[in-house]
Amino acid sequence: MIGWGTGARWALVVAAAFVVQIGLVTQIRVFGVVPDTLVVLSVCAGLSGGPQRGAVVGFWLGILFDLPRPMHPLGISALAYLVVAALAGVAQAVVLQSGRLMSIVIVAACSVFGVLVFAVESAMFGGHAFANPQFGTILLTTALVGAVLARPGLRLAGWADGPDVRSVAK
Amino acid sequence: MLGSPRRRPRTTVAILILATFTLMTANAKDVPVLKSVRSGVIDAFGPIGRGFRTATKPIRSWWGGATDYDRLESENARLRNEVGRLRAKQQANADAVSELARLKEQEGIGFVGTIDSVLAQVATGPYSSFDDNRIQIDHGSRSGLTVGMPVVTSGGLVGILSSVTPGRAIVQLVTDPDLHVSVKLAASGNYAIGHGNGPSRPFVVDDGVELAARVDVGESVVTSGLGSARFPADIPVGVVRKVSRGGADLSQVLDVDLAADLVRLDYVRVLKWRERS
Repeated sequence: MIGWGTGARWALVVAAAFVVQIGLVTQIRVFGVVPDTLVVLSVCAGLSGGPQRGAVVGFWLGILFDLPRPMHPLGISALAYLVVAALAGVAQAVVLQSGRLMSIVIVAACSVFGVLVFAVESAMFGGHAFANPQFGTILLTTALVGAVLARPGLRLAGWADGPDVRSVAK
Repeated sequence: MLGSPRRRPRTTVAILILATFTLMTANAKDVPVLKSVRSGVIDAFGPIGRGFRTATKPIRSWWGGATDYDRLESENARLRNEVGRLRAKQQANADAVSELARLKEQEGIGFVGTIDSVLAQVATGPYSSFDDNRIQIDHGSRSGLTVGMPVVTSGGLVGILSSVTPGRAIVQLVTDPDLHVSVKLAASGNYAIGHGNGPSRPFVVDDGVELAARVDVGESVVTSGLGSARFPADIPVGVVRKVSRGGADLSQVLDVDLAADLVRLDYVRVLKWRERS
């Protein structure tokens, strides 16, 4: 079983990331769009702790993010984040062998993929994500934010995972 | 639960995917517990969002100028041209305005000012780029607000309340493609249906303006207040920017610049007006 310490650290990270996203990040737009830092953290959790850890962290981050947004079905972000975090976890071995640059590329690419998954789900529920005139900008901004936050995100995930996990940030 | 090492990752992922599908299904069925939880979270985090919004206002102003310089420059140029054009039209419009005022008196159209209303502050903007057609305000059912009430500024129509909690309400902005508004062209008197077209895009009136109808660029568009309309009559929606021919249906399509500035919303007024059944 996972230790209480790791669980507590991840709970703290997830709660803090959620508050920062809805409180601070939403106030500052990059190229006119709101950066999604939670998808980046989900990917980092997968890369750092593997697919299982990534899926669980992505699930909770997504649930929290869905709660104050009644215009979207509850669970839509959770599904996108957990899928993309689990996929990032599969790439963990590649990153461990390749180094920093590859980890940044993978975080950016997986973050963009997470936004695409959300857009597909939203469209299935009648949303207009693909019709958003800034859709291309959203993807580019997500890639940029993913690349910039990859290292701090992986360090944060490595700290939350604890010393027993061989994190890609270490 | 952060994942037991003894359980296969695929099993955990499958369980979590099933959990999300269950939540989505429960959400679609309007399970009261989920609504209460969401409502509680919106109320609990509303003050946090508002606090951050207030605290970061100087940073946002600076950041907005720094990252949006090109857009602001082109907008300034566009506005300078617009001022010149409007000055030229001002004289011509004066007659039309007085004529419209007389017309309103004759039709007995009610003023929005007579409707009971609540002044509300924008608590937070959209939480993600896919929520751009929604804002949250700092009043809810405790202030007597209910779903469906119109939201305006002194400029014009902003949207409609789509969700209400005890302390907060979420406004579906007029830019939302799903929000259809029954409108009237102020000068020609044509009635039509319009809808949003996404943020930073003009409102589109694409149903009801026949090819034979004369519509001029610059003509005002207001809410119609007809029949089962969702808005009271005569709330300004915007001004016609472009008139074009529609596709297969023999009608005109109007691009309308919104009257209300949705980019810099701080305060809005919620009209305690109910949709007629």
